Amino acid sequence: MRVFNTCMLIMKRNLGAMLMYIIIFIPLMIVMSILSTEKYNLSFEESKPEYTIINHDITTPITEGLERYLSDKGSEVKLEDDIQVLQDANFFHETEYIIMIPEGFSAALFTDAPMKLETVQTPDSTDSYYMRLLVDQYFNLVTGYHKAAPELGEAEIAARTLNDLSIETAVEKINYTGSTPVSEKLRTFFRFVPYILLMIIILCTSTIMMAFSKPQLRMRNMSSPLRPFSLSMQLILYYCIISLICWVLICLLGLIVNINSLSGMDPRILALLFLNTFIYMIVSIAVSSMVCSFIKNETVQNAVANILSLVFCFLGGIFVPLEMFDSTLSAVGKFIPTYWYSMTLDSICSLSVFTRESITPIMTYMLLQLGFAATFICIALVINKKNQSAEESFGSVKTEIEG
Amino acid sequence: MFWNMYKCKLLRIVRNRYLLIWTFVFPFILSTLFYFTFSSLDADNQFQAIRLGVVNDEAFQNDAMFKNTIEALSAEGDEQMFITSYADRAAVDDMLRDNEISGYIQIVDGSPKLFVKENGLKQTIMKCFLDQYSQTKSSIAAIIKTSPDAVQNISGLFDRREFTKKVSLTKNPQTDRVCYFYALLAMVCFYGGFMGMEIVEELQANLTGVGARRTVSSARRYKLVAADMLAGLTSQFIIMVVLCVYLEFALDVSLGSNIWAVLLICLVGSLAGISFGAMITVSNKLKASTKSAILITVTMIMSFMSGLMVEGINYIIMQKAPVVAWLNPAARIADAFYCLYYFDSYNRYFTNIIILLLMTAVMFSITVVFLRRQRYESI
Repeated sequence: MRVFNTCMLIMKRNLGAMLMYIIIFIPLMIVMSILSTEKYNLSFEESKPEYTIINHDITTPITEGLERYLSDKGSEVKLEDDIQVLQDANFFHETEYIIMIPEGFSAALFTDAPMKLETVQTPDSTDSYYMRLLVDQYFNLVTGYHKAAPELGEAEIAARTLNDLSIETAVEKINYTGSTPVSEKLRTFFRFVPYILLMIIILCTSTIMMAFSKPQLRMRNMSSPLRPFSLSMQLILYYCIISLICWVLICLLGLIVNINSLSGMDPRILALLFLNTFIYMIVSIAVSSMVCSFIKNETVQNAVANILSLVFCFLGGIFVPLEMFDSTLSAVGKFIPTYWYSMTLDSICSLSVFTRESITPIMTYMLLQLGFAATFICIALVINKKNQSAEESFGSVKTEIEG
Repeated sequence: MFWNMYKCKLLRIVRNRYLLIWTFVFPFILSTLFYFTFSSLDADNQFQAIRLGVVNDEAFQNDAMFKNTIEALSAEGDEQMFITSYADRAAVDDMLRDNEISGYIQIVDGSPKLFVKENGLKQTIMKCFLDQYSQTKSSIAAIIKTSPDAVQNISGLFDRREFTKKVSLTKNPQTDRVCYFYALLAMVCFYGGFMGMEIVEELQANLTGVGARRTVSSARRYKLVAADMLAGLTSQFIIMVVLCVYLEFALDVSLGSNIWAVLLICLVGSLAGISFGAMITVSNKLKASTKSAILITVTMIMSFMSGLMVEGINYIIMQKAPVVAWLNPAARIADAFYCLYYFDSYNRYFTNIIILLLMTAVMFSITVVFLRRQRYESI
C-alpha cells in the first residue's frame, strides 16, 4: 500500500487548503440555519407579513382600529419617518408594506371623495396583495357601517368592524405522512451540499493526480516493480476513502447544525436524503476523475474547482430553486447532474406517502445521476488512455541528447 | 524610467494567466451565471393566481352566493385570485396530496372550511378570502338587524372599493436581483488583491527572482512601488470598467445614471483591493499558496457579508452589528453601488467612498512600513 500511503501523506500536507473550504462552509451553514427559524406545527398558522404604518394624520378610533386589526394579521415593524430608512427597509424586505396615512385622511373618509392611503410595496408581491386585501376589507366594512347608520360614532363603527373582522374560518391541516416534514433549514443544508462536496473532492483528487502525473514520477513508477493495475487500484481506493471522509464530515456537520429539525422526522426520508448526497459524492468522484487530467498546476486546480462547482450549482438549481428556472434554463440544466440532485431533493422533501408510485421518480432521478457518473468515468478512461499513449505525455522531459 | 517600469509591469500583468483567470474570466463567468439564474427572482415574489380545489357536492351547489363568489374570483383577468378545480372530496384530497393545489374548500354545516397541507402565504390568502366572505355576511346581518331601512340599499353599502394607492419613494424600482451583482463587483475589486500580491512578490528579493533583480537595480524603491501600484491599479480599473459595461449593457443590470460616480467607486474599490492584497502578502512569511488561500477566504467571507450569496444579509448585519458592516470594505463597495441605484442623494455614497479611502490608506501604510528598508542577509 505504498501508493495509498503516499497519497495520504500528500493529503496531510495539503490539509490546510482543504479545510479552508469547510471553514467557509460552516459559517455559511450557521447563518442559513439562523435565517430559517421556521418551526413545524400540527395546526395551521397564518403567515404574518411585515408592515409599517406611518401616520401623518391625527389618530382617530378608525385609524387605531386599523392598527389593531393589522397587528393581529401581520407583524408591525416600527420605523423612523425618514425617507432613506423607509427606502432601505423596503428594498431589503425588512417591511413588505408601508402604509402612509396622509394628512386629512380621517376627515375625508366619510365624504364623497375620500382620500386614499399611500402604500410603498414590492411591486406586485404576494405579501402586498395580502396586505391590500386586509386594508380594503377593513375600510369597506367601516364605510359600509357608516352608510347604513350615519349616526354611529367613529368609536362605535370601529368596534363593530373589529367585531366582524374577528370572525375566522375553520382550517384543517392535513398531514399525509404522519411525521414531521423536512424543515426548510434541513432542506437548505442539503441544497448546498453538492457545492462543497464537488469542490473538495476535485481539490483532494487533483492534488494527488498532479503529483502522480509528473513525468519524472511517472517514468519512475513505470520502471518500478509495482504493477500498473495495483497502482491504479490504490489510487482509486484513495479517491473513494478521501471522498467518503469528506461526505461523512459534511453529513455530520449537517446533523449537528440541524439537530433540532430531526425530531419527529420519518427516518426513511432522512435516509433518502443522505443516499442522495452519497450518490452525488459518486458523481463528484467521476467529475473530478474526468477533469483532473487537465489540471497541471495549483492555479488551474483552484480555477477548475471553483468555476466547475459554481457552474454546476447555478445551473443545477442549488443556489436558486428549480421552480424559479425558465424553460430554457431548465432545458440546459437537464444536462448537468446537479439538476437531477435538486430534482431528487425536491421529490424527497415533498414525499407524502411511501408507495411504489411516489418512490419511482426519486429512484429514476438517482439512477440518472449514476448514469452521469458512469458517463464521466467513461470519458475519463478515454482521456487517460489517450494521454498515456500520447507523445505529449512526457513532453516536458527532454533527454540528455535533446538538451 | 518610471514609465518604462510602469509599461513593463503592465505587460507582466497582462501575460499572467493566473491573475487574468481570477480577476477577469471568473467574474465574467459568475456574472453570466447570475444573470441566467436570477432572471426570474423578482417574478417569484409576484402574486399569481392560487390553485384552489372546491369539493363540488350538494352543499356547494345549494350555496348559490358562495358559488357565484368563487366563480367571479376564478374568472380570467387582472383580478383573478384563484385557478379553481371542482371535484369530489377524494379527488381534491389527492390533488392536495400531490401538490397540484394549495388547498381546498368544502362547505361543512353551511360554512366553508379550508383544508391545507402546509402553512404559507397562499394558504393564508385563501383563508383571508373565506374570512372576508364570512365577515361581510356577518356585517350585512348586523346592519339588517339594527337598521332595517338599509335593506333596500344593502348591496351598495358593501361595494368593494380600493382605499390604497401605490407610491414610490425612489425613481428606480425595488428589485432583489441587483444586489447580487453589486456584491459581485465588490468581490472583483478584492480579487484585485491578487494584483497586490503579484506586485509585492516582485518587489521582494526573498520571494521571486524578479524581486531579487529589481532590489539590486539602481531604480529608487519608491519609484518601483509607485510604478507597480499604478500598473496594477490601471489593469484592475480597466477590468472593473469592462465588467460594469458588460453588466449594464449585456446583462441589463442598472448601475444608476451617474457614470462618473460609477467610475469613482470602481477606482476606489480597485485601490482598496490592491492595497489589501499587498498588505496580506507583505505582512507575513507564509507560503505563496497559503497567502492565496487567505486572500480568497477573506474575500469570500467579506463578499458573503456584502450579499453575494444571501440577498439582504448586508442589511441584517448593518442592523444587528453596524460596526462589522462599516468595517467590511466589500460591503461598503456594494453599498456604494446600491446607493447609486436606489437613492437620489449622494450622502451615503460619499460616506462609503471616504471610509474606503481611509481603509486603503491604513492598508497601504502597513504595506509601506513592511516594504521599506528591507535588507537580505541570505535569500
